[in-house]
Amino acid sequence: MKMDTAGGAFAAMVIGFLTGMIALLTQDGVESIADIGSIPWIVLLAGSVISFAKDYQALTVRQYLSRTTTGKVNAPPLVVVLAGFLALAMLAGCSGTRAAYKAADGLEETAKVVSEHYFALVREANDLADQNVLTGMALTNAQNVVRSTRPVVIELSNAANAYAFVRSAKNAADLERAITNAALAVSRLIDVIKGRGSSAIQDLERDLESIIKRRPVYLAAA
Amino acid sequence: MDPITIAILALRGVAAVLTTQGQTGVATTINTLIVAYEAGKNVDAYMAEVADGLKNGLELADWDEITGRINAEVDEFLARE
Repeated sequence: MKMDTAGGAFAAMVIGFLTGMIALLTQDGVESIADIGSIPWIVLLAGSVISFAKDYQALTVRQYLSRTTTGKVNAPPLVVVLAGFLALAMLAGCSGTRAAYKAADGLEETAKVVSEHYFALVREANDLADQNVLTGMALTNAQNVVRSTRPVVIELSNAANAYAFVRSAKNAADLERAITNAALAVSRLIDVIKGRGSSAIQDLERDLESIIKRRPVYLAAA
Repeated sequence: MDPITIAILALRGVAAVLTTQGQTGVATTINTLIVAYEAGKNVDAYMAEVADGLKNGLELADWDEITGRINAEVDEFLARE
């Protein structure tokens, strides 16, 4: 058994196992590893062992094929697995945000949590632009979203101030409406931030596909 | 070290190898993915601080401060070319 082949399969098994564990931890009512029942653990472990066996088989075949080609990138599947793992973490990694919305008590606190969320997203958009991740058309689109959503968030602060000044049914209804509109604005900004990640995954898949498609050319050259 | 950190390190390693092999397109895409992931993580960390403040009974910032911060960030973002 060659270690590079076994190591690759083992890495895939560990990643699969950890991904499954994260999925179990994100379930409602599961706060820690101790909350996961014995049956899910058995299923997860059995799945991981099967995954190791199948990956080992697949990687052995792949290694054999690699010896007959001169392709430069020998691990596109591993890159896709890691990228997929990161994408999963990107989708699951919002426990702090959920906790903030859950902890908000009443309309005023909810309004402030929405506003803080908006602030954090725009700040990250600035950071992405600083790192040249948001450039060109992506930057222009993001700027359009921010430009059109700022008045909605400022309106939210006006509605909250009016509600704090006079707690009437009308002001409460106005504030509720403003919170809904601001939440939609936040949602659009999330699309901008996470959209960069999603499009990066799509780009990655396309790039890897083109590398794989180029292999016959290498083979012909060899 | 948590599994996500290991995945990021592995992806950075792959990106570095690809760069040395001249596959800069894929390397750039991987780095974009990592930066986008970290951006989402930063937002979540900030919101976790807000959640902690609320749970501990702390007052959230007043509206003048919040809108001031939002306007400063938005102005900076819209000024970019």
